[in-house]
Amino acid sequence: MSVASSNNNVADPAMIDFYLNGKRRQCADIPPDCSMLELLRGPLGHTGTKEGCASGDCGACTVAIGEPTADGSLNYHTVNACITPAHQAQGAHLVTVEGLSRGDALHPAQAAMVECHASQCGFCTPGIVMSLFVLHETQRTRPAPFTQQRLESALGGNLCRCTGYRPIRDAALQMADQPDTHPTWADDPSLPGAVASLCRDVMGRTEGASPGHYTIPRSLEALRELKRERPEARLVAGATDLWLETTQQLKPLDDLIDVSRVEELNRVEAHPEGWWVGAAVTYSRLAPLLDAEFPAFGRLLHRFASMQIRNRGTLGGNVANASPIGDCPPVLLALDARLLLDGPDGERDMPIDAFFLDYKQTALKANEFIRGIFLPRSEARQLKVWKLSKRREDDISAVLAAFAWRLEDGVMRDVRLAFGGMAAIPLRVPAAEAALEGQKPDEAAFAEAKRALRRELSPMSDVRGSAEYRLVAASNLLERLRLSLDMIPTDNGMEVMLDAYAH
Amino acid sequence: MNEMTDPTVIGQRTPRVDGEYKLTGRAGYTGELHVEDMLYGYPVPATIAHGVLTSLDVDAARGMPGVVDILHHRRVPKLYRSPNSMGHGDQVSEIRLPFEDERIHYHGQYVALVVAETFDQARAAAHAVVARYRQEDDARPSLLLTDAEGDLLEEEGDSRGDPDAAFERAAVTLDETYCIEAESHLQMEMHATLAEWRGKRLIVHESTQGVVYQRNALARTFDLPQEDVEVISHYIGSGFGNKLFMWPHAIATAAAAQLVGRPVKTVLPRQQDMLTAGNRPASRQRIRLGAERDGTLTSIRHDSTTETSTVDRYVDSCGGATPSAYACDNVAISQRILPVNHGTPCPMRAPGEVSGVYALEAAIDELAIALAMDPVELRLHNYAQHDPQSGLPWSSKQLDKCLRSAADRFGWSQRDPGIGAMRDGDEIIGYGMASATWSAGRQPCEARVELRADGSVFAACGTQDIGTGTYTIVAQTAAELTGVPVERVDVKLGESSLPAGPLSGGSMTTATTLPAVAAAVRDAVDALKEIVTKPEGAFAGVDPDALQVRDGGLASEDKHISFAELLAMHDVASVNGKGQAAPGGEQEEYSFRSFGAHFVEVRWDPGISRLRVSRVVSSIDVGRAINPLAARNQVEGAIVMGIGMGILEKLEYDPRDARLMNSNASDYRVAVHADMPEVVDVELLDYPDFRFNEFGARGIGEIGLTGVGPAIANAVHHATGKRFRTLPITVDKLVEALG
Repeated sequence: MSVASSNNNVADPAMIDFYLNGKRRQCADIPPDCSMLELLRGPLGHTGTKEGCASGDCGACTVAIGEPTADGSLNYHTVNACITPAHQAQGAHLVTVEGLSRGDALHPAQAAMVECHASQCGFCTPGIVMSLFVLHETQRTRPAPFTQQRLESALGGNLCRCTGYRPIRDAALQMADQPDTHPTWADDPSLPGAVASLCRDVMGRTEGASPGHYTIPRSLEALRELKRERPEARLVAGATDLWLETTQQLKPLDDLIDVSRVEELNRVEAHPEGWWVGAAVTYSRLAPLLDAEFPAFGRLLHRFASMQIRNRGTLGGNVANASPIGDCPPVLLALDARLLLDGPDGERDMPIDAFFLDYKQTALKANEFIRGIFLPRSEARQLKVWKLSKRREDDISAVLAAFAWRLEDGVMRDVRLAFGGMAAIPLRVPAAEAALEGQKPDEAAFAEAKRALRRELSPMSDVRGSAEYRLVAASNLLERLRLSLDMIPTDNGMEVMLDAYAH
Repeated sequence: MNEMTDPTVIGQRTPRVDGEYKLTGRAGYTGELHVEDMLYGYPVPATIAHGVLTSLDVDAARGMPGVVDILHHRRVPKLYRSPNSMGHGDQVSEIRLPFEDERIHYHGQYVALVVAETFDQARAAAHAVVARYRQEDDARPSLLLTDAEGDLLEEEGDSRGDPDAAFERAAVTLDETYCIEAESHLQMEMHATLAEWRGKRLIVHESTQGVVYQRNALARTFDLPQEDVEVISHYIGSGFGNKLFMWPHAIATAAAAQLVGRPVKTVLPRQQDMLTAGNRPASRQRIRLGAERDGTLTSIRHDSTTETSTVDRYVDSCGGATPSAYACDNVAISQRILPVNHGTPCPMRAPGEVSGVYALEAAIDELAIALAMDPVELRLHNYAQHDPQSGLPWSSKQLDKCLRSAADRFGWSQRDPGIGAMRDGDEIIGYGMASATWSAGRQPCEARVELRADGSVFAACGTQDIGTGTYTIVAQTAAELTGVPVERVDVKLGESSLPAGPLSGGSMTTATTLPAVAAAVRDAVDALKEIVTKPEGAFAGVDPDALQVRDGGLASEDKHISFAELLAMHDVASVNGKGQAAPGGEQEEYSFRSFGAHFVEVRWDPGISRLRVSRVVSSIDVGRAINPLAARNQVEGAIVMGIGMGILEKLEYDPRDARLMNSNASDYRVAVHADMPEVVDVELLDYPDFRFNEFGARGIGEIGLTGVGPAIANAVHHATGKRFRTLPITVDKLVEALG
């Protein structure tokens, strides 16, 4: 690995060309499985950013990535550098804790942290400062009140073992009272344009790369071609799960195709019957659609990992990963979502409940990828999503239930009961659905549905919950559904109190 | 003693002197350090918990790019076990040396250490080392999964009166067993060592709570004169006890550096940190109480068992606080340890006592219910006005004020004691409380201070700042006693070559270090006075004792000259002072202990069995807080850690083979931002304890954690009617018990 800061424009696919704290950096010979954190702390010697877990759980490695927007500015979001591929810095502006102050003058995020004694041992501090920096930037461009929910969302992915969090929250609230000191690099009005231009420029460089490299195609056609040439190459989007293979299991990832910049995979398209969501659309970008059209799904995102993960993770990744405890697949099952699979041999459409075959086994062929996920529109459908985890925020589900139905003349129709954490795959339980289909939502029908759950499901015991806990909890969630149907007027069926159910 | 009755810097909300370094990423933790020619170490952990290493194939790994060497049980320099003595300051965390033999005692035990040119190369090669094992099937996964009694430790027992007979006679009795699952420190910064040999000298940078102890232990391990070893630790990403004493990774790293003749740095990955570098052991405690109908305690027996490993005998003494807790004539405590197949446990914040206080304070709550008494009243009824175990008076005890003040602020009088009687919408509200306590100790300490011609003050001590604010309070102390502003005080800590300072442990650092720093300041001032009162001096003819220290200078009547001017006038670069301080005769006259009270509100939604801690109101008395801002936050942080202990944290060992299943920050759950209660109201009483030291300060790092667990468990009982006697109280237990 080597580092240069010249502007020499070589088409080296292993070269990462980006801006770091306002300065152009070119890093050559970076291996495909190098993380952004390893790049920063190693070749770049920027050790302010810390490793606390190397699994995206603690947030000590939080950095900000600025990406060019249509209006010519840079939009910053937080990521966990420990599980973000170094090559995803390509053409972006990376901001780290070293890049915030202006000479001796601290950025408001830093000054407020000092003022509030919000740093004890200081090891989580650089990550927290970066989360506050992005909160401050967001506030600068889109001011809104710092509600409890917003602060939990902004800081939920940053563990601190010393302070008990109160001073950190105080610092967030106090940032606005500090002198609005800008980092030195923010003086340069040409920076956003330079980043945008670099971004356009570097993107094409790696498309022709051979196996053993980190390849970033820009178009669907290029992606198809790459999958034809390198069917065994692993696909990476947000890397929020894939990267654990290298940091936790020490496995090399030496042949990677990054789908995150494929234009066709980054669209959200509205159709009369529903929405096509590109497989590389991140949760953060998907959130406005879900909040507007699928509020129960939208609320799930508040309890779905941390902000840093939501900024990188994708719906396509969550589906393709096929984890039995992924949070989105049960919701997609309940919504009758469809998938568009694509590859060098053409595209095909499939209902999502045909996709999951066995533990981590899917209907994807070796050279295929998920291109999009279709979310059908239905005015009459009602949806509830309940996540059970041991911790309210930033935790993996023990059980996730997604229930959809519509009421027609007082009876339930199109009942979909889907679960995560109850089997080797996320799945619907047709026998339980049948018990409710065409029935009034009364005790007898639900009793039969609950019996069906017990009959059909045999979950495993693990650190997240015992088999018995999972069965009791899944059954109780059905009871919860019955009680809520009793209480909630049918015209208000979209109301979901997810945060009341997440623990 | 010079009682500091009216300080101007001490006791003020002083921002941390290291804050800016930490906020800008410039604070150099061990993992950041780089020296020329440095190699990277990456340990290879055993994948079984109990058995024998039957073969180790390192050939493939040895041939990988960048690999320089691989240490294992057949390739390791000569090492010696440390005598492991607290008295001689060479205690270690695990007495077994790395790579001693083929025996595997716990999951994660190092079977090899790869040394390579880069971190990536070391990690890749560690993955390529092939170890084969013969697993034995009688692994012991946890104290809480066995009925085995463990070994009784006679020296840990204590008693007064005849608790057995008193129990038999008591009108009301209680006999219950309380358990706590093993916990991980999950300190944010993993353990790290950078070892470098310069000729026969060994220089080690380590994230440690005790540079002096580790220096001594390394000297014993490598058979070196103590003077030839230096341990440095300028910034520490907290420790909570698991960085007190040296662990095998530091020995392995120094051994590797010796073997290859180049510096080696090892940063433990989180998984290995959790597997090999300490945990709070699980505990099982039987409490037997006897009382009169009016609530008078007549018998307390507290019998504890805690885990240790099969390679060391760590004792987490649970009963330590019990004999002094209540005015009861008949008390006995006992302690057992049971070896299990875990990495060796170690102290974790308020070690032993936090577990013991949980058991005792939960039992007192149960007794209050059996007696139909208010739990606060029961505690006040049995209030110990003097230390019932030593018979000595307390130096200063304000527990009654803590109980009453916290109860008032919490609104305890509004409590309806009926089970589940307090509701708010879907939620049932539970109130619970418990007392907090931690012993107040101090150690001998030395310090050095310089008054410098540039107007600054330099203070140095061989203790370290683990994040609690020691840099800042040492600066405050020097500022207080010289009148030089805090920002002109340079503090040097964290080097074993500095005057010997204490471990950062036991909440003793403040009370131990500051008196030595104060003595050193006075010594330096005396040296200056001697110079300036000489015949040719600026204060010639003035009696040195009549010279006052004021505003960063010396003053006599209306003449004031700053230290800087004085030193310049006399052509002296600096004057030096040495200070020493140690506990003295006061230890024979008084008992020293801190007390406090926690009141906790929980909210339980029976529909989904969700439990939250929504409000904590605490009053803590630690004498004087040197820095109230830092001190209060020690308690707030401890409370949130206590929420982890109460409802979240548990190391999960596989019952079949004792492997640790949740050695990561995802599956081992600590409280996150959203778990912070809506209200955390911490009051620090201000009763300076001048019998303890001139600053009136006892320690504050640990007491805040004691009592939080039982207050939560007691509140859960109030809400649910179910007495959970094992922590943490997780949602699956609530569902199982309550549907």
